[in-house]
Amino acid sequence: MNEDRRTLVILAVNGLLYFALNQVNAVLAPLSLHLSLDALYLLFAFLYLKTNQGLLIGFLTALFIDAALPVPFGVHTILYFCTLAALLRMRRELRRDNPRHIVLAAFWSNFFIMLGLSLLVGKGLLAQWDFWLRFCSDLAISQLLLIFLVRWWVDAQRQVLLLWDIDVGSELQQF
Amino acid sequence: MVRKIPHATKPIVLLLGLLLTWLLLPAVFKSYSRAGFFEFQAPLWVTAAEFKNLGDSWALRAHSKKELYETGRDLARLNSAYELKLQEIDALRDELSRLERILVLPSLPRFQYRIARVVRRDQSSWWQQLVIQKGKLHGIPVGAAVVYSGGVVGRIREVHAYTSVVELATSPGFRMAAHFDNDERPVTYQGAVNLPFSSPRGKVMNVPPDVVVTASVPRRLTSSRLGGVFPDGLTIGWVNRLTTSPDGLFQSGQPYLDKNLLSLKEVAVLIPLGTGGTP
Amino acid sequence: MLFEVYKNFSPRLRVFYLIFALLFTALSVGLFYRQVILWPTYLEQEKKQNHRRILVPGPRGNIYDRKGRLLVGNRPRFSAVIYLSELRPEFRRKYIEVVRSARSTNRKINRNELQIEARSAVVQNYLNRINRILNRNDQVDRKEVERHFRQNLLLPKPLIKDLKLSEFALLTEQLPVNFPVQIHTESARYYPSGSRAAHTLGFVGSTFEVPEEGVPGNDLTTVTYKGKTGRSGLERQFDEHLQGTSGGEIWVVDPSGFQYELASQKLPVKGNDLSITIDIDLQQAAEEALGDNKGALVALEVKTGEVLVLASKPDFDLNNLSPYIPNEVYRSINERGAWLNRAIAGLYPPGSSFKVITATAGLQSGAIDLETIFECQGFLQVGNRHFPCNNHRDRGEISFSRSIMKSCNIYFQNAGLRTGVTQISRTARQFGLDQPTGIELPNETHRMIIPDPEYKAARQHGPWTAGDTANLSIGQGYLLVTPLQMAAFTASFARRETRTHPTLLHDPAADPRRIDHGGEKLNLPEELYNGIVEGMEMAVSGRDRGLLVGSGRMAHVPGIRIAGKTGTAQTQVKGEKLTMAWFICFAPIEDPKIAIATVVESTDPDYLYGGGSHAAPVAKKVLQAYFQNKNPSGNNLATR
Repeated sequence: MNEDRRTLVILAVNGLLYFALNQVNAVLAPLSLHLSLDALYLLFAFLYLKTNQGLLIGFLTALFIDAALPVPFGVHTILYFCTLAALLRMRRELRRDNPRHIVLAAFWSNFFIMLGLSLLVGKGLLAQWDFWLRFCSDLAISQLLLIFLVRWWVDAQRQVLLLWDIDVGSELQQF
Repeated sequence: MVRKIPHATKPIVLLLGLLLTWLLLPAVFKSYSRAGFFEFQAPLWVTAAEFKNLGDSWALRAHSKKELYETGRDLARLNSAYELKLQEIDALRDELSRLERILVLPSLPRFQYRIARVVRRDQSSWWQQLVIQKGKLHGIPVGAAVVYSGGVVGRIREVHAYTSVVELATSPGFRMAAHFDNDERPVTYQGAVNLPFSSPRGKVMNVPPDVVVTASVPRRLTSSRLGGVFPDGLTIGWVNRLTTSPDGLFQSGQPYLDKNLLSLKEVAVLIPLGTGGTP
Repeated sequence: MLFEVYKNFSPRLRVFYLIFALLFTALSVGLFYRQVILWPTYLEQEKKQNHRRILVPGPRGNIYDRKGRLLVGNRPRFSAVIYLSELRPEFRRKYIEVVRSARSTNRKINRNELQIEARSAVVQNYLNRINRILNRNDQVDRKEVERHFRQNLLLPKPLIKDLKLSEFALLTEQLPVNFPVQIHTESARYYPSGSRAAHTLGFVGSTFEVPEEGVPGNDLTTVTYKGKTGRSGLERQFDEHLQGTSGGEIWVVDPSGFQYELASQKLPVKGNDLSITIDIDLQQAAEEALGDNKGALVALEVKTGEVLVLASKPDFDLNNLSPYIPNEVYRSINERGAWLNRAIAGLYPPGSSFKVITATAGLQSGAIDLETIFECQGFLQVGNRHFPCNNHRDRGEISFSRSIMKSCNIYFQNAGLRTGVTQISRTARQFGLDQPTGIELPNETHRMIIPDPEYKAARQHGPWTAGDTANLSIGQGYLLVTPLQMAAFTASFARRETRTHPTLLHDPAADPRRIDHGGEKLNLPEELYNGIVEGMEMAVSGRDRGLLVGSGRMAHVPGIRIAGKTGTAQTQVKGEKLTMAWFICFAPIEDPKIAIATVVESTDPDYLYGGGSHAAPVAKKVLQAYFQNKNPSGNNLATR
């Protein structure tokens, strides 16, 4: 029961983040800036929940994001799965209680997802200098924000789970 | 005996399995899932927009009675001016129809419009789109032109039950027929990547070599009715420089678009008469 | 123990060691040779096998008139094309579908046939989408799809060629950006002036022989977009100059020949522009004046020899020949005899306009002088030949200047008989009438004739007679010249020189005094020269009791002193006696600037054309246009 609840809670939190991020992006749009913080959707689920839970959260979040975007349905799913695979591969090396490790994982995951999305969706734009200039500016602002936000966000998610009496901190030893 | 997959390769095997499963899923399933997910989140955007409206309305309540009276008076004046304009337009329409009949000309395409609020904006380097609060139920067809007071906004790309997705004119995937002011020859306009902290831009191509623009006298690029989607003469942007291609056949340039295009709150969808649903 | 072990070294094994060492060395050397030495060769081979080159011809340069107005340009030619390489997965899916369907209906499975069917069906699907947008009903030609698939897989397959601008706009707006069907642009020749100067400008035809200079990958398998090559006129003469520089694309292809990666690209560059001497306003005036007649008009700038007008009628609209010549257009031009550039390849007896040469020859030789008088009774009997003179009504004695003014045949026949054929022919040759002018155009005829006794004898037409001389003196008989030659002669005469090299290449910086036309000063004292010019002026502006009475009076332009000479030549065309109306002139007499020669052919034996009535008015229109341009206020130019 607890397992189902944590999945639902994290999914809801992801939904909230998605909504908030869109509002911020709407404000940034006149400046031609765009925040991509996909790592925030995945990091907690992949690092602190079980593999199948993380998978399900990643899968549903990706579909939720893809549905409203002009991309082939499933692009985010594939990218999130690839990120998941990489994170799972590093799970033993990553120390989840070490903030620096978390920041690093978020940083690389986000970079990988943004780059992957550009390569998969960019098609005819990849040869354009302007495209990469815009990509770099979006990447810079996203990564900068991510570094400041990720620890707070992970903690916030843990706190939210605590509201449902789920203490993922004590479960860390399982991994 | 079943051999256990080594721990290190487990994620890769898992990834491959998942990807294969996803790829093998039937397209119908995917398209239904997509529509379902979209419809599922649509209320979220509409609610957010409604909250924003509510906020705006509460902000308006903060105005004094005197301000409201004055605004009401100004509005009434504007309304009468518009009434007058509407009458003029009706008279002109009648005159146009009369001339069309006399000269046996095919009638110009006419549109009805639906005003729609923007409920979501997605403007990244990868895509440029808006979600508006009108959809299939309001008679919005796919491919309809979307405009605002400053000119062209884009075109309807997807229609859902009560929301639609508009591909913005700034999107690299958006292309339309256009022409310069006082020059009927069609040219191609296409969206381009917008650079940070700068006005939205596009690309104009296939411009005949005899079209002249200078930085001091930029020329307005407007929609062309020849494309069959947009009515004639809606502003797309301004071009202040054209470069001739090495083969000398065409010129190309970068029109500058209105900055408001990236922060629109309300747009109008033009529905060709005879194709749209009931308002 | 089964085997004996020899612990001691056997010398016989050395041979084997040696053989082994040799073989191993050979193997190593071979391996080294193949892997290291031949590495670049294999790399090159691999490149050749999986790289293909597409040659894209550069658009041709523009042609401008002397005032910089565009005469020939390029217009974009839009086509809806489909990129077959992007349809591969669809071809495969459709093929499977078609095979399944064939199996279910127990149809005999011919894989090749089914593949063709599948490909055509896929292409037709895309064509249907275009049909819906453009409201058309085009169908895919199966054979053409297959041929394109087999031979030109690298090139996009045209679905609808030569889209109208409205169709271009519709497809631009309604086709997605990343779609297998796209709009392809080629250049086609464009002639803003339509049929103006059609013969001079010429037209182009398609060719696969596209210049390859500067495009890398000479050794690769190459496919070529059709280029253009000049077929006639200036397009042909200056083909190399106008030809654009080709661009190219090198594609990496898979084993089936589908392109999947663009390895390198070079953009085509437009060819050099050409500025010619034609004045399109004058050309238009000349062509309008010639109207529906058959004929030609050439106008030269006297000092430079620059060709201001080179008109030939009937003509054709060059736009109808681009990008290709439809059969019905070809037939129509053929039937009207419009292919012939009459200005440079039309051979005509010059008729009385030749009398200027007869007069020059007579005066040069001293056979006649300005005071010489002959009697005209309306006919002349030379041997057994009877020559009438219907050019004027007054009979009796006639003077030199009046004979030019009235174009009296009898006077010039007498003068010719006195001068002799040798002197007349020599003078005509001096003016270059026996050879092409060398204008920068292909197809200038070499078959002009300045007859003399040797000519007649060589063709076994019998001995030269006095009648032949009399006939030659009035520009008849075997004599044949082109309008361009007569214009060049007129310009030479106006400059008092013997040659004019007409040119179509405009050089505004050229100093007319330094131009060498290749002739010499005309060996004629000024007084005698002025005598001829005076007669020519009277032919145009001579008055009697206030009325213009010269044979060329219809070329009179008030305020301009014009020296002109009419001519009416009789000739036999396909057994019918037709007349050719001539007029040559230069103006203004005090400082000659323009020289004109025009010929108008009659097409009906019952309706005789005259130089004064049919050719002089044509020249007048050009003179008016010329002097109107020189003096735009037009104060002293009245039109009648």
